Amino acid sequence: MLKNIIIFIAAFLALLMMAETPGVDAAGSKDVLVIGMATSDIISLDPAKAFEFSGVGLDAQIYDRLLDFPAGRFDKPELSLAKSYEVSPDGKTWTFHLRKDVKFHSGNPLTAEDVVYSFQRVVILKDQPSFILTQFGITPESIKAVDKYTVQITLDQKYASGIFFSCLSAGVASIVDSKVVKQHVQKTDKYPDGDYGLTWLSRNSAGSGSFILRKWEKGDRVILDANADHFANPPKVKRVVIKEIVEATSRRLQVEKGDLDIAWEMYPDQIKALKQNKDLRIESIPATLIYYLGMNVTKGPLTDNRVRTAIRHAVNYGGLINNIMGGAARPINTFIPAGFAGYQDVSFYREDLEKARQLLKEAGYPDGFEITMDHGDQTPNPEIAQAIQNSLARVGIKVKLNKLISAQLWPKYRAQKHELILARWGPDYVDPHTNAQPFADYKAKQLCWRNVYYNDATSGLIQQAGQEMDNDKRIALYQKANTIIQQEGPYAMLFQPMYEHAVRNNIKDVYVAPMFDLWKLYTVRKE
Amino acid sequence: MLQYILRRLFTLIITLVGIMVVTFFISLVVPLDPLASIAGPQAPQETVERLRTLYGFDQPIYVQFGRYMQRLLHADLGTSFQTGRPVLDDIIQYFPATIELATMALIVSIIIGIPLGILSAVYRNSAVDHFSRVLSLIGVSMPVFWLGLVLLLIFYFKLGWFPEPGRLDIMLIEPERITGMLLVDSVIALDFEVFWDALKHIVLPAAVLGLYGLAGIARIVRSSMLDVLSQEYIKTARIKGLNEFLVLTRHALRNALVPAVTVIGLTYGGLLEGSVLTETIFSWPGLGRYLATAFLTLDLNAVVGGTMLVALMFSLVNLVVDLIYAFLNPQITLTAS
Repeated sequence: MLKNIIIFIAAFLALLMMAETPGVDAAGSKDVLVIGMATSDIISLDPAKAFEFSGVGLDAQIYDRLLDFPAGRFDKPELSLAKSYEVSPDGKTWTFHLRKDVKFHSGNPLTAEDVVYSFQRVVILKDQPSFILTQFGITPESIKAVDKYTVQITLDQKYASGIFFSCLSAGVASIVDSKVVKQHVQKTDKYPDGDYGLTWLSRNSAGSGSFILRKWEKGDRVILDANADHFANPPKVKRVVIKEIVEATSRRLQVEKGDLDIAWEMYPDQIKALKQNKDLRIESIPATLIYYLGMNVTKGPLTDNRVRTAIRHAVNYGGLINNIMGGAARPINTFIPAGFAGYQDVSFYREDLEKARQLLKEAGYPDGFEITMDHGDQTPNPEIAQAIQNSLARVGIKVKLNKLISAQLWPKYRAQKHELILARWGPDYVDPHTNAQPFADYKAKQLCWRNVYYNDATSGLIQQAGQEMDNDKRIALYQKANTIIQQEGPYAMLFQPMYEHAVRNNIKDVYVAPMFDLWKLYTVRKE
Repeated sequence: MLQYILRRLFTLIITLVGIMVVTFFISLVVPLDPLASIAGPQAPQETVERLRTLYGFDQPIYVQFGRYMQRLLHADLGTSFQTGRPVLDDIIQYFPATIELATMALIVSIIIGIPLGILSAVYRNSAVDHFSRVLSLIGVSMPVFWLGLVLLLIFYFKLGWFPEPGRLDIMLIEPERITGMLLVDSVIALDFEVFWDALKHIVLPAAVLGLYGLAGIARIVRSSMLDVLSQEYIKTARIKGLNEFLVLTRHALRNALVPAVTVIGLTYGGLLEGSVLTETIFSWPGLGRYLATAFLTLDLNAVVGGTMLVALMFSLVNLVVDLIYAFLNPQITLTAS
């Protein structure tokens, strides 16, 4: 027996030694771009369902929309599948004229029928991102093909064109190949009359975009092949492989070794080390995410705005940014993040303990009080929570931390049962309205509502902005609402984090985007 | 023997049904909302409510359970929320990668653990014994997460002996999927380039997991060898002038292996659940991460389906262990009663 074992071990080791190193080095091939990324959030790649960061980012490569943001430009969308448009005098009916030279990956021409089908399935399926279209009152009947290349969309009232266009350039407004999708409709237990291709499109694609989805296997990789015949943006590489690498240290080792061309989202301690490596560079941009502290204004001392303001003055913002985020964040005192129209670099609050103590004293809490703060279990949330706990302890506010997994945290927030909550918000589409509405209009039943801050003034301003056709006036309305929210509202805005990616030097023309909707890979070259 | 196996398989079905019922109800009574992960933190209230109705979470528990049972009778484990795919398809997708890794890890544990156990028993309190003790201690107490990263740093990053994390080089094309295990499928397809590459990819994760299993195996082999070596029949064998190697392998080891088989079985059962941390570090698309995400997001169908699979694996491994007992020691008889 022992002899057999020894022979087996010897044979096994001999086998391993004989094994050569792989002959082809993926990252060495000029035609294949290899990206390492934590893509485990993807649930579906169907544009009608995808609402997670990575899923929306991938759909931006696979599908085209009527309007779109060019690579590296984030101010306003430009015409893409639509070559022109007109709007009726009452501002409700929009007519889009489509390009005639667009073909889907299947070879089918892209026509008005496809646009109608794409929007109708979003509205009928009513999945997560559907509100981006249905908020304009779009119904299956209100969208029609006037002729082969003309689409008409009728809204329930007048809306600001800036908001409407941004939503038409969002992932959910991607145009799918109706002929292909219709071949893959299934009857499922949730959709007994047919699922509009929802099941099939979750891991297959029917688009016209710069890339064709070859494969997505959760936990493993996504493979995108170039669509060399794209009408405007044929990619510079033949294939993109996005490896799911959840562990950031593993991403770092692989990009340094050259097995990855780009390591997505590196953390501050790794950035420090990566900056020493001359073979790569760090590309960074402020993400359009906002970390904030939500305060339920019906709970104990938080009903008093002086207390909320005291909390805003007691937070050690510099400590959060420099110590917890390693400098990869910037202070923010507005619900419109840097990168969006209307962002103002104003500072309402800075750390001022004297002022905080004074306000607490005026509010009748000279010795502070005890309060609970709910927060998520994923880094950096527990670290931020502890830092805030320390910050507030300096003015006598004893914070009891309550770490919850998302299946506990969000239901509690939605049920308005929290006292303090550490959370973050990312825009749903590329327009300040996507942040202004949740943060300032309680009638949208979003963040403002969850913190039970029912302010008709800010709500009115946001609704007015929603219909304002003049963009400058619209932005001014958001800024006015922001001032009220910052001074009286239920939040302490903490910071806006940075996206930092490690890119090898032979990778050119990488335009890093502040949010996944704006991610474009067709420009990227490999030398 | 056959009667015994059939009887065991019958009790297995009852066990599975019990586990399914318990898991289902535990998942529904915990104060967690599965909608939170389906809808995400940002979805507006109406979307959440609409999804609650769509997924049937607005129904009473007994209705949900009835629907689940109805589907189960048609061999339908339901759809996973996190992949949007039938749970059975997910298991077929992820489980082979786990079986492959678990088996390789177990081989590492056995081929190092058993000889180490024997040697430390024979040369009790010698350098070999101390080495074995330290190695076992390291195997049990070293955090897998840390060990995995250190092995990557040394053997992948610094020395370049082993390839990057993952199952296969990006430029290689996977052979036709038959078993889902790359090492097996590549041999079937006679694609030895893929076989070598897959083998090199599996070494580091298998070593990390193997070191953990090795500890238990080496310790149990050592103690049972010590026990057996003090028996009269070993003395008799030695007095008869039998070669020491034969005494150890034929007479001692065979009996000493009986308790070791139990430990090996349990180790294998544990490995088949998948290892979240090892899979995360080595980008291994296995069952461990799938199940961990399922539990954290309360992906109900995946939780129940996955738990049943794990129970099934444990039961089958136990059955095999019992059969091996009879093979190793003919005095053990398997009866149906």
